Amino acid sequence: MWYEKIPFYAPSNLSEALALCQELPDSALLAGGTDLLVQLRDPNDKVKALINIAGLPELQTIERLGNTVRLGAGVTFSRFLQQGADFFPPLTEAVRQLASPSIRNKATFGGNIVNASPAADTLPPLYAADAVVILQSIHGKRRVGLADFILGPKRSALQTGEILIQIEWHVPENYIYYYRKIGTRRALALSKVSFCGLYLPEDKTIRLAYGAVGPTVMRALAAEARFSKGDKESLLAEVTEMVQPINDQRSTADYRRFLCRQLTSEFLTRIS
Amino acid sequence: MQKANKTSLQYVGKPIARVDALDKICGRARYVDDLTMPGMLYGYTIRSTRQRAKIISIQFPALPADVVGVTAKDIPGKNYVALFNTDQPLLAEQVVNYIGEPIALLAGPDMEILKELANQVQIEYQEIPSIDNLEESLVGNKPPIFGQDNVFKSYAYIKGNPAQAFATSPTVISGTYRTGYQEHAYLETQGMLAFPYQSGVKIIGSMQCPFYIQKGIAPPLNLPPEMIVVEQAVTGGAFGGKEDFPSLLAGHVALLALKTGKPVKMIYDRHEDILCTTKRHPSRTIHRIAFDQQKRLTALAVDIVLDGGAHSTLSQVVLARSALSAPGVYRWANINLQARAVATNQVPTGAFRGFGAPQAFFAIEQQMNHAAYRLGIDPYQLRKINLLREGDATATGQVLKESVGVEKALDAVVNKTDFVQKYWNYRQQNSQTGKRKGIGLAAFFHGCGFTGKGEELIKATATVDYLPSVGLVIRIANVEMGQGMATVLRQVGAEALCIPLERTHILGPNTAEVPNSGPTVASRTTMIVGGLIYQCCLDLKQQIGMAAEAANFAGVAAQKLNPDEHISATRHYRVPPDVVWDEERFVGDAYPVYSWGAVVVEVEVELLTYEVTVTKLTAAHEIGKAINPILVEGQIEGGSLQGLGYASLENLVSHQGQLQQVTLTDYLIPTILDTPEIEPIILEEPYSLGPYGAKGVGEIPFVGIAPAYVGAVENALGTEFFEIPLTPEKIYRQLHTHTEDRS
Repeated sequence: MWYEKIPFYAPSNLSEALALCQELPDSALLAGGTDLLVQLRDPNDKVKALINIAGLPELQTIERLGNTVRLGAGVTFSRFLQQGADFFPPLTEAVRQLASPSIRNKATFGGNIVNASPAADTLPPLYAADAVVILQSIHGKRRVGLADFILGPKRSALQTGEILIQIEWHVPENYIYYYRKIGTRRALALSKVSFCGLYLPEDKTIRLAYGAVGPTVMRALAAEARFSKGDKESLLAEVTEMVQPINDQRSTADYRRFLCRQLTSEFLTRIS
Repeated sequence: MQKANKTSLQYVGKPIARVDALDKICGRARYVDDLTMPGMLYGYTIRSTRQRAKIISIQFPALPADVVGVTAKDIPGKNYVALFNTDQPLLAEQVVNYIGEPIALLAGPDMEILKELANQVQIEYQEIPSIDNLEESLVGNKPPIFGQDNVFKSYAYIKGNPAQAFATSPTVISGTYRTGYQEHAYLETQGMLAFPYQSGVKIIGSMQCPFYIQKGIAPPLNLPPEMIVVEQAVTGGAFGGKEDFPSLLAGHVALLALKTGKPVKMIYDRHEDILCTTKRHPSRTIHRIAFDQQKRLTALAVDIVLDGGAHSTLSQVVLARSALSAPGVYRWANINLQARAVATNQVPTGAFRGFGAPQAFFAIEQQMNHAAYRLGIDPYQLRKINLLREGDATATGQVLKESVGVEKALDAVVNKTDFVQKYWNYRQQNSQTGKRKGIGLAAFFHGCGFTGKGEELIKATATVDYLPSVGLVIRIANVEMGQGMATVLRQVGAEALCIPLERTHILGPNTAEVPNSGPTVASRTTMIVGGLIYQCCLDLKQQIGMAAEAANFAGVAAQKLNPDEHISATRHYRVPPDVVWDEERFVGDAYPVYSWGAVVVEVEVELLTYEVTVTKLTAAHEIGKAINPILVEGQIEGGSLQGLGYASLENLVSHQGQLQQVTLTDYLIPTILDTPEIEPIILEEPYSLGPYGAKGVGEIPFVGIAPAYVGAVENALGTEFFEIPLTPEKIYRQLHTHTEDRS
């Protein structure tokens, strides 16, 4: 088969993987492979080698200490649903609606993030949580805000030789959330729009994150800032101004804009 | 035909497990992609990237010694695939007429190398203005694709005095209805294997109609049909998609096999399959119906246009079924009907479960739903007033003499769902948040067997042999494609001879070994071919001196025949003498008999997002006799779900000739989580000429789902809709661009 022609490396630990990554600049990291194996079928794809990081022990962290959640990039969605389902319910809801059981058994958080799809299911809750990603290379580690890490469709700030190893965020106190994914059907569907709203009663602020309505998942920061003014209509107008939906094979720009408004409005109703 | 005593039936009417199930579940079934032969090559197709253009030149790269390339110039015979017309080339020669049209072929031992070489083939084009859709085709301001006027086929007739009836009727309901493409999405993509055989060629593959392939590719291969041996491999679903298209693919592999002298296999991947195989015809129907004071239908005016794509293929017969279905299940004194199938620069459309009827029933049943609303009567009552009943004549003047179960079906679904009460309750909903409920209804028929003179032309032939050592051997050209044919026809044979099911066999379809019992299409196999097998079995009884009703066939045969001595019977289908169809005037008996159905769909619409959830689907189908009830339920459940996909979410659109949803990531069909509770109700009004009273069931479960679904959404939202698939995007667009709200 076509994939047998691509050299395949199976490091046994993270430092081996980092060394390979540095050595083989045209390689791709293989974790769950649920996106990568589809993309590799494109004859124009230039991947020269595969480095298998699925199951690397250093990428399997799954913990909540106090209000801080740390997820190893190699954690699969199925394992998260078994072991981390109570960490952050909006993310749990997103993961439950992601793809299908067989894909959730293989696909990882790290893969969903570095694939940098505007419709990635885990991203709206993680954007709303102000998550941070931790990147490592043979030269060391760095922390980057998730919204700064993702640059555009299929583009991230990951540098040659770097591996995304962990995602980290603080779960706010007593928050109220509203999460919705609108897809064409109930399973195995890419989002037309996804939305995560958080209300933080301690400081009376909201966070609004939208998927599939722009080149990246979008936070509506200007609309969030209007929340304290109590003018729902102007907040909603701000949201519909901010989002940049398009007509494509899955939906229409006007319906997507309408959904952004509707879902935001529903969230505001629920927290009022 | 003898009426069987119900209580004495041992196999017919029993929910016997599919005889092919175990092999398929265990992975033992061998599909064409599982077959290999020594020295086998792969084939690959080079396709048009232009919607409409002249081909100026085709330049292959330097080909390795083990790779062969062919173009239209290498076709030994005439460059067309024979069907009703000769307009579909085996390989495009001077012009291309759709994106994906085959132009050249490669064969070689390594698929990856073939793909790389295919990318290097240089084709120089000169663009011709293309015809994008059926409206443009009718306008006629661009060079025609077919004939002088782009019309593949048209039917038209006037009955009574429709103009006067419209002028004098107090209520007239009008609407323009549109339906979209639908992709078959069979589990197994199209695939074919060919190799030189005797002095001709043998073809093995995924197909519905072995003899269509033989007839279709004899002209381009320049071989007598009998030198082309066609055999069906295990086939993983078809739904009509493997009726005519396999002839084109078989022609390609046969051409490569004859050119290279080696076996050549070609299997489409999903992207190629969606891109270039046939689809359900998109349609536009302009519809008017009129009612008198008593809410009786007085007149129908209907103008149906089907988008046939770039080549005529099966469009003329699909169109005939649309035209015959257009009047619905009602009585009419006055009709003005026009139906046209037109050419566009799009992938050719073809057969798909329902075959033109779903488009027509969407229009007439939506008209009835809209009329009920405007007349202030419930949709059930309005249909009851106008329904065809035994003894009535259809739009074409066919007197319905027997087996007319539409009223029974309608009553069954309405009573089961408490339709009328719910319909009026849901009309009172005025909440602006949360969810609203809706309920919708449709009634319909499906003509069993070929339209018009089709069965007369095919003259289906079936043969059975009986050997005491083996049992009954059925020889037919019909195929098992997942629908249960192999089980059902063995049940008929076992019952007719009173022998165990295990002592019945069906010879795998191979044109060298079986007579032509016709294609596996048109809801005809159980009724027409099953009927022939039943008659053949009675002939066998007669040959050994038994009465038709006598039971101990195996015992008598064992006495009268040596173990390996065989007796044989052959029957040819003859259209009953009282079934007369006049194709020219569109008058008479369009089908030998009809299956009848009614369906109720119940939905919840979320007002926040306009997402629709189907909560329950209740479908009653009157099919004469369910030879195997559990397989009939399977047909009802599968057809209903496929119909819901068609009605609600299977969105396939073309932009400048390029289909926009060409993967199963973008072209979505319902999953199990999208499947509502489906309640099948089987009704039986025996047909005197069907085996044990059976009619057809393969297509009818699909036919009326769309109007019942859209009717339910209308009932919830108080708005009329005219187009499927009715996606949330379309609901949004309609509610936010039209201000008038009828609720």
